[in-house]
Amino acid sequence: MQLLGGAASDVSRDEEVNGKPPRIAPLREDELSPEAAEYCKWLRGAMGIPETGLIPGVTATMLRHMDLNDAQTTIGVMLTSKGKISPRERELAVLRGGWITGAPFEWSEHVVIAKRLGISAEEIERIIEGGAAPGWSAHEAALLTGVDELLSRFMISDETWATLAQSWDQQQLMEFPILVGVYAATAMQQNSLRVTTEGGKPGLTSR
Amino acid sequence: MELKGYGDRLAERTAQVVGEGPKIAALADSEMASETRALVDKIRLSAGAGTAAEVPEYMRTMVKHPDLFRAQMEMGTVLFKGLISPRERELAVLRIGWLAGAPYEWGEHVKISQRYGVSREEIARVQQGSSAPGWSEHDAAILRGVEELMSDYAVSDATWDILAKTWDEAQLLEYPSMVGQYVVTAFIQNSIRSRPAPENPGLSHS
Repeated sequence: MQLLGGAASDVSRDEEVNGKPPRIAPLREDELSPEAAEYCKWLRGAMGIPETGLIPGVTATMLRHMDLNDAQTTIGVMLTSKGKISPRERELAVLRGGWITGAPFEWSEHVVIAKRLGISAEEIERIIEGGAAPGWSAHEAALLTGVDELLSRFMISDETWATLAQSWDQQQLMEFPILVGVYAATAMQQNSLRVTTEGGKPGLTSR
Repeated sequence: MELKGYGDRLAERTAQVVGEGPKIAALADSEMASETRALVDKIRLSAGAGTAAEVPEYMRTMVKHPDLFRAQMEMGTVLFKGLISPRERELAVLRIGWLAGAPYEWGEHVKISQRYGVSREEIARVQQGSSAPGWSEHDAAILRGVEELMSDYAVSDATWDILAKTWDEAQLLEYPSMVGQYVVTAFIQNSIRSRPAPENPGLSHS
């Protein structure tokens, strides 16, 4: 099975995903159910958004299905706040996943997050090349290769697992396929809904 | 992109995934803390499965990372009781398990799907996919959407438009997330080499 990888041309994939308007419109503030309004209050607090500040479009769309939104929030918060995989490792995996899945929203958001965590512009370019690019440690190369294996063959190879197991404990090893999968699921959802990138970010050409 | 699946090499794929046994040892039933046991029972009850005399090996493995297990199970429970009908969900899950070459997921859902009205003939037809003759337009679109999401990570306009004839916005919202969640399940179960229960023949279950 062949990976989409690099999306032939970033611009044409951006056009494919975001060239048309979102398939499901975000809820407006005056359309929120009491439950959704309560969630927005919590989210603004958690994300430091001002009381009347804009709720991100992707969230405002998901508020049309509160149960699903809650469950996605639970796993997202779990992976980022109670996850056993370090933030740097997580972001390497998420960026590789966002690139392979040709996901303009996920890629552009995580370029910003990754940089905040100290991932360099040079490393972001190298993530696009993948685990075989020169310069990665054996562990980080295996991490990036593991993302490719999951997205193309739906399992991690013995070789990659063995390399990861040199650095990671059982909990981290168990978390990895789920981490990659949850962000792949996010890409599937955001791509399918044609979620608009936040703040006019350029999608897959973000660096 | 081409999504070939593993239909022509079932034995090879089964050996690759589960041949050497689990990569992470499950807890023994007796090693599970009572609160963990209670959590598993709660999850099983909410999915309509009833408490189990013995907790499945896959769950006894995943409880080694309790926060992750709980979050995964919350998502699974929401989708199990989701807005997409059980029969539609099971058609999608079977297609996912088949394309992902996932012995545990496929084998389990051959059983589960029959509880929700999927016939054995349809289970065989899921292996052929969306273009097999005999599906309604809507069911074919459910299967084709899975094929698109697993190869191109987006649902095409043509497929979306057909689904939107039958589904409301919340069901359409649920669909890519539901597919994604069962892809996550294939990722983890294949990667840790989760074995189907002894009586379950995995990918050759029909």
